[in-house]
Amino acid sequence: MFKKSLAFTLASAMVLTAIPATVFAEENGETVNLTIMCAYASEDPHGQYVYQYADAFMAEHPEVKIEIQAVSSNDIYTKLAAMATSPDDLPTLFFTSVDQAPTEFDLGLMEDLSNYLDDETLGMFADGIIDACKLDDTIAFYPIDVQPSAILYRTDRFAEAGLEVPTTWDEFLECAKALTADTDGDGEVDQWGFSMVGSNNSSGQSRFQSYLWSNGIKQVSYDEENEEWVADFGDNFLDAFSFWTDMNNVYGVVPTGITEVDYATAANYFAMGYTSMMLGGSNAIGVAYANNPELKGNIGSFRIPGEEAGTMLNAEGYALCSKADEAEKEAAVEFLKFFSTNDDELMFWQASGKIPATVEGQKAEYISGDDYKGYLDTVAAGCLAPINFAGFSGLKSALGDAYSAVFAGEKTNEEAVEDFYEAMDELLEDYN
Amino acid sequence: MAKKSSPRSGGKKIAGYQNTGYKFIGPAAFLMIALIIYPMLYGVYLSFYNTNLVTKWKFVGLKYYMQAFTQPEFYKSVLLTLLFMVLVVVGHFTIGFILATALNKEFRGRTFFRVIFMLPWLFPETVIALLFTWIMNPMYGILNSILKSLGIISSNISWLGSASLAFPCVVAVCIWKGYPLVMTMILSGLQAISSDLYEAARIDGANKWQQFMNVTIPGLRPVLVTTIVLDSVWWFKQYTLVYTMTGGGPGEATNLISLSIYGTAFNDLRFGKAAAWGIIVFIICYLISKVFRFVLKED
Repeated sequence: MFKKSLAFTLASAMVLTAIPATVFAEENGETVNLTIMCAYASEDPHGQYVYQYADAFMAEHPEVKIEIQAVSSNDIYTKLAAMATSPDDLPTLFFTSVDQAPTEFDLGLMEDLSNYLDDETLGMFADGIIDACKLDDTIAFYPIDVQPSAILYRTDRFAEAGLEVPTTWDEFLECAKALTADTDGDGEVDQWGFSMVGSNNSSGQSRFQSYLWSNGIKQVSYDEENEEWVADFGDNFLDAFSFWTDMNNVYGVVPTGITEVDYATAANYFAMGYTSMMLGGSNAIGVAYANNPELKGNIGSFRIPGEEAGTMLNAEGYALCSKADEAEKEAAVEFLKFFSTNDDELMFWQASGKIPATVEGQKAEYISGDDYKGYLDTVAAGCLAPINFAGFSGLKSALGDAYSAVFAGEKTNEEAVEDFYEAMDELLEDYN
Repeated sequence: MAKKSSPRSGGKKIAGYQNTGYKFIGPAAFLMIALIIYPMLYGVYLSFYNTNLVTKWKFVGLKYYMQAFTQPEFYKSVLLTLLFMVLVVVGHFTIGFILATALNKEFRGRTFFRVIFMLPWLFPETVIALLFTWIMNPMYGILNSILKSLGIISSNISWLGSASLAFPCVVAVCIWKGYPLVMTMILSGLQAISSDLYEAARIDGANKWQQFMNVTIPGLRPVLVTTIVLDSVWWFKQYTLVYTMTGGGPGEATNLISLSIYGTAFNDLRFGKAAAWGIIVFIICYLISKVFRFVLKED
């Protein structure tokens, strides 16, 4: 009898522990649970502020419990795609960038924020930013910052070498050549002009796309007449492609082992002085100063060379998951507003080097120097509109495969471009 | 001698016994159906669709199977994977056999070396991949540093960034990671062979090579068959180590079929195409095990 009672008690205890405490809380209407899949949280030095803002929000709203899942921005999209078929597991909010948004939108994961944001909140953002978050006339995600691409450069090295800021890619190459050197005289190059991100991942692919846009190569366009997406690479794609790969294979102005240079490595090389120019968002400024404070005053930025806009506004932020329940959605939107407005010192943005999305944020002192000038010039000159092509990620992969094959010496430029066109045809067939 | 019951008199008892048996295997069978059979059948179903699993379901029939056999992308990746598997398995068996034979002899410190040689198997694949990525880093890797100090190379080499070097480097790391399993299996097999057999062979005048061929190999055959099938299929499906080291690159130099399928499914969201490739790979793995069993079967 005793054994039976003991077994019953233990079995009951096991069953009870298997039920999350939150279930009881939700039934009582006390707690709203928010799960945030966040790329910011996984990054240094600014990730800590996401946790701080969440804690501060929870202190003000005891009925809300926030769980932050720190996931690398390169992996978030993949995780969401895998989770899309099991809606109960999806986070309430998830980080997104403008290039990942079309695919997530196509999966039906994004709630239209127009239904949750009032005019006062929308008026808080700088010109053009809400438009940069729109897909099919819906506000697909809430902007936290903008990350237009520009070129960061070492002003001290430019001055030393008597170089002017380049406005064309040919001039850029000349600058890169001048800044590539064997500084210790051991017969081996130890300083390179351009911190190219040559890895075949989202970071490398995005930068290559920026370069192509600046050369007037749109990549995809929507054919209104036939209502389908078409490849749009113009006549100069092979030349532009070859120019990019030649920077490694012919001119050697990028670091050794370029296919292994991802964003973090490239930013680190720039911060440590191995390289003198870098294409990317202003967050590399934050990395540079965090790793090498002596660089303050020695970094400038300029617009991507070329006649065309080489970047979208690249708004980043959080999308509200369409599968969340109404209470979660409302609490999540409150948290987003809190995120944008609670910190007068903008510590998250300052530490990350990102440009705030709000009008007030863009008045901040820290973005008024030479280091941010190129980024603000880029915003002022106008950026590309978001492209709502659901196969955008596949397009990026195909571009990455093409340049990576040439960097590795596996294919010639001509072969890589030819294979790329075939991959592109197949991609468009699947997405039209 | 066991008593045979007539079908009529024992029918009820046997049925009851079988019912109990079904109840015992029920939970396991349910789990296998839920976790293995259903996903496989669902994979077959997906392979006939152009789908992102959520909003797009377009029937395409056998299109992706046809593409797999007509476009070089798939079979290049399969051939690369087969080459990778053969090299890695041969490496495992060569090193595993040599070390198992050495560790089967009596010498001081044998237990210590058995533990040391097992170590690569104990580390997680991601740790090993990151470790070797750092060792082979073109800018600050210790491999370049050592080779330069020995005067073997004059400038840094990008081991994982060159199409010709990345594949052999990845194969070498995979051999290093996986040989301990083979070594252990062979060692256990060697220890199970009675010394009487060797003594009898010696009395019959067999030399070392003849002893190896006529005593050791036949004695190891059951272990070898199991190990070679497990090892081959395991490394044919390899993903983690290669993905962490090279991501399948540079170019297509290390783009094993597992990486291709993953990228197609989760980067490009072309789940139908990835499912079709997955089904073909399953058939290939099944055939590999059949071929090994046929070739290595006992007379």
